[in-house]
Amino acid sequence: MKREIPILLTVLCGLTIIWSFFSNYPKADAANTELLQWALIFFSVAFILGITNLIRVSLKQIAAKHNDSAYKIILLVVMFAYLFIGLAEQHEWFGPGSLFGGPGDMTVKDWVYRKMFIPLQATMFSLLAFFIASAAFRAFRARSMESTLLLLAGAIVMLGQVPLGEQITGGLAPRWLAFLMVYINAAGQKAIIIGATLGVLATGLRIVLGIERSYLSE
Amino acid sequence: MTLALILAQVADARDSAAQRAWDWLDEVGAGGADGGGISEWIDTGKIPTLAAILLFGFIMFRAQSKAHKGKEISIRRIAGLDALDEAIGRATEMGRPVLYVPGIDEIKEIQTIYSMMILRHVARKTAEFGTDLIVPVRDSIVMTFAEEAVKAGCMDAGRPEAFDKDNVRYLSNEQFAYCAGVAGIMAREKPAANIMLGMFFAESLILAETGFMGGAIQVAGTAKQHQLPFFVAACDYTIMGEEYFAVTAYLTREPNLLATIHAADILKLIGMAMLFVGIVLASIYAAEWYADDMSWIKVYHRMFGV
Repeated sequence: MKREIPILLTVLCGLTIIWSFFSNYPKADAANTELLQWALIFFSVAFILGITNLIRVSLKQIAAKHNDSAYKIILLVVMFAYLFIGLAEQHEWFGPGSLFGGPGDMTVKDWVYRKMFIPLQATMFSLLAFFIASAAFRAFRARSMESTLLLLAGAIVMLGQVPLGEQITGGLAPRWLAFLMVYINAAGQKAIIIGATLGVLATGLRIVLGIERSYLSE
Repeated sequence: MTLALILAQVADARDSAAQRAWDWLDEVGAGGADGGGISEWIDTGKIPTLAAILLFGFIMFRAQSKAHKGKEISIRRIAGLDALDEAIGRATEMGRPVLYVPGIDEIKEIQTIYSMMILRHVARKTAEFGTDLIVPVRDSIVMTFAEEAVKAGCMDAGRPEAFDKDNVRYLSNEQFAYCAGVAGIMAREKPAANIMLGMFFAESLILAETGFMGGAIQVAGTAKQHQLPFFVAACDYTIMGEEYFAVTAYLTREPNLLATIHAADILKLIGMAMLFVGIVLASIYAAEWYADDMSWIKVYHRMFGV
């Protein structure tokens, strides 16, 4: 039964969602909405599991005096502090208008989010610029026929994007770029999308019909 | 004279079939307005999709039945999948862990579900070899799936004690916080093999380049076409597009799973034929090279909008 019930639930839910996708029948849509709401509740409850895992793993490493202990302490302190600040603002524990009371001009929660979290995220994202350069340096070395084609295509795309490229090629680079992007690139991308869509269809059917069961612990 | 009569009858039959198809399209299309007809039950605009799914299902079951009767379904060699074992073997030789990143999307994304299936195979291999497997996740539900997949993989290998709950780690729901966490694991715990399979977004290149700098052998795979160039540039092996959904069939060689790959190939051939016919018919329609008011060209145009 440990195996059959999850498969039965998967099949039922899958068929209901497929039915609601293809049907105009109002009850099909209602059933789909109901299932999505259940999923939302599951997601919310499961968030607690994630936090529990994070705390358990961090505490174990701190107790074992692991090399990463300092990071784990910072992580836990920041996490609980931000949780406290958020709850204080939500429930106005320190009265409306206070730093923790919100919604003021900028509460502590907003300040931490805007002045610390967003810049940190931007820092991570900006690493991409350097990583693109280093990855391109390796990928564009003309060692084989394929990498030479890649180098040529990359050069044309770069020249076609900048005014200097247009000037030095007498206006040809943007036209080559358009040809590459509209015909070669789009055709390649569509081939990948069609193949992947068929893969999605095959996998979806395998799961909904209970043929693929390896996602279940048996 | 007889030939001319036969040709005339064939033309009549064709026109009358085209007329019936046209009338049927009128009927299903008009049904939605007053709430009657077939369109109350089926969204008529999605009939081609439904037909494709039913056709796929039919081909799949036929291929399965043939496979059960002993017909061998071959599958081409996919270097990226062969490299999975090589990567785990290398990690074992070096005595360092394997890092498995299942993408950053939620479990409702089919690539994430599929990644969990592949994780089970990877976990079986690492358990057989006695190598640590670290699985950082971004979503709590994915975490529970990942725990189950790793546990099942260890059981498959006959070594349930190899499952370490602390190695499936929830890091953060935020994209770049998660990315920083994974990059930190790559830098500090120095895995010898990084396996990145699932749905990736802007973090793909950051992860792949960090892994490259750490000297790990890297196998990546996704069906997200925008991230594929980054993986191709930065990883040793890339499993792309449809190859990604063939992993479990390729690794297990189970007839039921191979049959679905076979069915997808046949559907692809049908799709290619339809594309070719569509190109010809759309060209004829656009150039107005057809004479009849009612012809299959117009019916095709109305059904598929070409």
